[in-house]
Amino acid sequence: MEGINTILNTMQSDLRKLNSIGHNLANVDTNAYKRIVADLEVQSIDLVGKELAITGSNNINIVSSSRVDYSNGALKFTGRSLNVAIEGDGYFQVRDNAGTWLTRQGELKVDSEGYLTLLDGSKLQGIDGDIQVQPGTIEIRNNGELYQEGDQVIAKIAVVDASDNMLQEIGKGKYSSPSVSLLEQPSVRQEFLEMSNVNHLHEMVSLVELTRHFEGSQQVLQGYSTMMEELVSKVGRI
Amino acid sequence: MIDALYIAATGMRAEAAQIDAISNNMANLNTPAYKRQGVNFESLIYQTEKVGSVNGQLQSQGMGAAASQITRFYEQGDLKVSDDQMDIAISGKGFFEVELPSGSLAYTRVGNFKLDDNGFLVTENGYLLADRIQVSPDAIDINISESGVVSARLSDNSEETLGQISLAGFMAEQDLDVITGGLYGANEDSGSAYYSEPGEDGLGLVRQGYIEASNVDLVEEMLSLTMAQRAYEGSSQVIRAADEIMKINNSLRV
Repeated sequence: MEGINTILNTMQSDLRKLNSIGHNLANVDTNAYKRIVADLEVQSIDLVGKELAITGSNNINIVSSSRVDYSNGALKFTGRSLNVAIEGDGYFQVRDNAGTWLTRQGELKVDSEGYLTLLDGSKLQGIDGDIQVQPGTIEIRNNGELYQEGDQVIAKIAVVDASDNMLQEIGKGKYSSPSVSLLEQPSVRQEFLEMSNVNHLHEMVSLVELTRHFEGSQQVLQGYSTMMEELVSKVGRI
Repeated sequence: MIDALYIAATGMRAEAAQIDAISNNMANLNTPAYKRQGVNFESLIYQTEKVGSVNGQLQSQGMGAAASQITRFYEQGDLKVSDDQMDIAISGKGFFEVELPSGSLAYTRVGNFKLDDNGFLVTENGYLLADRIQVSPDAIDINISESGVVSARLSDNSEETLGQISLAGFMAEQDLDVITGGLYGANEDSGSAYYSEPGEDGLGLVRQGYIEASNVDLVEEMLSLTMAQRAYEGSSQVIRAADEIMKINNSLRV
């Protein structure tokens, strides 16, 4: 009856999948959100010799694992000068009391001391550290250079690259990475924001898929139940 | 019982906050100098050890979304011509400073001024303009230059300079407290105001005979509303699915 365990495992992974779908759908409006993809992973297939395989007895351990899909979201034009988005690869660096993080969120503000920060107050990092601006218009060029009235470069926004599989999401759209490298030719777009990369259709299809799979699994479990019932009530009878 | 229920609920709550902000914007479409609000979403994440992991590999577990912050966008609204010479609009950044009856200061961009009993320039609600500009009773015409110099033509056709309207600017204007009636208050996050003549230090010019309209963009609001409704619906589908699954669970034993 190892089959019951396998079915149970896949049903449990359906539930986890439902969690990630719920999470993705809740974040369709979150700037620069990267969707979570729940996958099934066959962890170990333990077939000891042919005989076991023929009898159908195996030890398949199916676990659910999730990964983040780091593909870029669409860029939305907002017309606000304090909105920036990265075209292509790369991350902005922001610093708060807890440390330096990576993010692709580009909804900025100027705080009371004139520093460019994210909405939660963590300071955007330029190549030379925090970026402080004067009142007045701010122009951010494609290469990340920041100008204010005139042709004098005030700061250059640091855009760094990090390998996707080293990233750890820490919440609020921020990531930590053990190593980063400065991008040589970043492409920063002012007056744009990166949208969430959740695909509504995709999530809905997965939702249908998993509810039906769950339903099917329940039928199989019911089959086992019938089998056991037969076993108990008929086989034992003399 | 099933995490997805609560996760989907966070999504619905966040979208409801978005719809609140949109309806507030729509209601103030015709409020002079109204600044629209926007909701900022953030994803809620916690980290767990990967199932069956040997080397303590972590994976991110999503717990939904939250409407973390309601921001106000201080973009310029359109300037509309008005017949009233006492209507003054700011073209660019900055606020008029007014004195509240309590003695504290507040800031506004609503520039439909009038004269009180003593001839002082006051806002429509009667708050005194902090520059304290007094117009003598025999003035027949008031002229306000772009740089804020107020002068009057008297009945004997002579010109008299009455004062200077200065503007207040903030480094972090999006963090101002919102008081009712288009008034804003300074706080720790916004920093204190810096004062300048119109046109200086990145502040705007004053325009006599104009009123600033709200900066609500109807098309954008409708777009956001459609998005919010569908996103709300999406999360409610997850709740339905979770419900269905619990129903199936209950029917396991016949």
